[in-house]
Amino acid sequence: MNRFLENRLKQVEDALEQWLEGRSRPMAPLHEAIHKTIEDRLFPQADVHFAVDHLSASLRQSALRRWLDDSLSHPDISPRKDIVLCLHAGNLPLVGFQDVLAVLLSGAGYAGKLSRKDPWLITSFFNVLRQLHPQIPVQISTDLAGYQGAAFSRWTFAGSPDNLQAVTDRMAAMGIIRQKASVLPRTAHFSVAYLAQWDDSCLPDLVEGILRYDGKGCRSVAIVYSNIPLEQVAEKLRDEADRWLQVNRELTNPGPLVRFRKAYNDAAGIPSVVLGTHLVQEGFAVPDHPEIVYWQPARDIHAPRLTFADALQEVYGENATPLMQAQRPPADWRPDGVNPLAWLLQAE
Amino acid sequence: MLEKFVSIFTTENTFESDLREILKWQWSQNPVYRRFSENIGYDAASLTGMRAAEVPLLPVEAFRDTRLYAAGDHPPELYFQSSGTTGMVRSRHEVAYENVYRQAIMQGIQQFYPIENMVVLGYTPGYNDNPDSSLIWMINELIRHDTTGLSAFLPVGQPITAGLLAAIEDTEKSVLLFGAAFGLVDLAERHPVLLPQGSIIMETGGMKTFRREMSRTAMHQILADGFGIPLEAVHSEYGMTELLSQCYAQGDSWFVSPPWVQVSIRNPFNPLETLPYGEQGLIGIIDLANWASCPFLLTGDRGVQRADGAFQVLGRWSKYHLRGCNFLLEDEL
Repeated sequence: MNRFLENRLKQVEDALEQWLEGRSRPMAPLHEAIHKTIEDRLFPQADVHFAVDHLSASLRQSALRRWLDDSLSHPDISPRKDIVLCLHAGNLPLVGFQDVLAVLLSGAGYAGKLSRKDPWLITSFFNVLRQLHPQIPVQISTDLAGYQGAAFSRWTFAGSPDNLQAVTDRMAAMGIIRQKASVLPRTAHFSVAYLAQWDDSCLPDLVEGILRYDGKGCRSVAIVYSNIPLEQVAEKLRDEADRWLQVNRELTNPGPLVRFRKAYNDAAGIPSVVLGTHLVQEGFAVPDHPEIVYWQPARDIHAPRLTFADALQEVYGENATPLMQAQRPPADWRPDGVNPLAWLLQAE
Repeated sequence: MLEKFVSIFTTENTFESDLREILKWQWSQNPVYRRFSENIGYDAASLTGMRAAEVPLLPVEAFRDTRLYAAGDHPPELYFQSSGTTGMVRSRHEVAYENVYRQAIMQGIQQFYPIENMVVLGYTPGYNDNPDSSLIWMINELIRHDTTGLSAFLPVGQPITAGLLAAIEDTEKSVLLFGAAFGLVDLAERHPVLLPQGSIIMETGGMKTFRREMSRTAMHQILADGFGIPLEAVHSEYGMTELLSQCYAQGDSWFVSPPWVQVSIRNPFNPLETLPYGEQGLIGIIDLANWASCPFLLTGDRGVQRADGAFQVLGRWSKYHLRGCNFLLEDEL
């Protein structure tokens, strides 16, 4: 591997270790960031801890080295050392952290537009990185206007293709990006569980897949395809959800939309079950609201991909991504099927 | 029973008083709407005292998910089904009284157009394989109403003939050309003609022969150019299988409803709440002509309303945007 990249990998690993180690140490950046995020009620406490716990677990044991090795098209690739702009979303805690790691591991400098909904956690990592390795170029802002005139030539975009053009035009007009800058957008919005041979042992992972982060992640389960009808497992699903909610949520009452949909389903004879703040219901619709999950017959494992194409992130189940990885993806998981690190190492 | 609600098409009663009567009727005759209202927490007394903005609206997919019929033992005289691909469950609207639909169509269009002085032409490729289309029935009804014998469906892919245009000119009537938007675009681009002065193009939305994405403004410009009429003579109709009545946008993007229809914009996160004028949400419709099925419907369309009741249709409520990463420029700049 190129020496510069080898060195950058070590710098990132150092910083990660020290950052994560500080999670339970008062005054340490991560500890403070967790505290502020929870205090500001940006995300539920349990979700913040879950995200950090998972990061600690998934970044162990040379995970970054493996990811970098797998991302190099050839071992002696010369990294570009420009600065890459990342526009982060704020739908769940640390949602853009993989982009951060990808940019740094690619050898580039990082400029980030953090979401106002998640401003502390990623910043706390950079506080550690800057202290240990001040030579790595890093800029952070929660205000895009701060990058006016910067003319970035590569950027990552945590938004859907629906608004990519509008964002691109606006940023080009502000001189934030060059006219023909390379962009890596996000297209996926949700995932599905394909459980053709129902087994009750999937219940904890299924409930986690549905309820974690209030269903707002693209890895969250929005549709369950199953060989058995919802009514047959509704009670077990509710019991499992109750256990999950006791541990993970303070407020567990359904909101007005779930109450409305439940009232409609019951009137129309559509089987459905309330899982705390969420509703799982039979019938088909395009997933939209994170609180509504659809239950469909499992007839063809290819059907979800054919139906939803790029909007679909993962299909969980047998012969697919393990359901337990829904909210616990490996370090090198591929949003939209794209390895962002490989993209950064290769992007012109 | 039919005579009971004829007042909705007249000025005999106010909308609110007809609404109260029809709420009572629905409570007693429509078990799905009654259960839905009860599940939300209403009873007969609270429901029938409501103003239009407070009325709980049943999701329009109820016409797909269940049977909505409130005409007792009277068998339906008509039914319509939405179009759909093979294997897809389609909405089905059973119409108890053909004459109510006829009145909704004719009295509705007469609110906005001098239909007696118009020859109606229909161009509906893509609908021809749906014999249960309410749009086709409606256009047929308009054609039937014309006494010149010139009103007709146009053959698909064929130009409007000079002979037909000359015959229409002879009657001194103008043309009302009705059709699905993208079919009309095809016709305008492939076979441009000059319609008689005062003619109106009525696009009904729909993407039945969709071949490219296009803004509404661009589409209207193509239609105006292709048929030789001013841009403001390209109008739009807002209707659906589930509604017996239609709303019209006459040369701009604001739809106006007939007096027996009231539109509200509902909060997508709490559909029991009506949003203030100017805020975007889901289009909710009370169509009293639907009294024998269900008049209180929440659509999946995104819209906005102004204080005079006119509303814009801004497309479908975004399919996915609430799930997954969604960087919104307006939130960030």
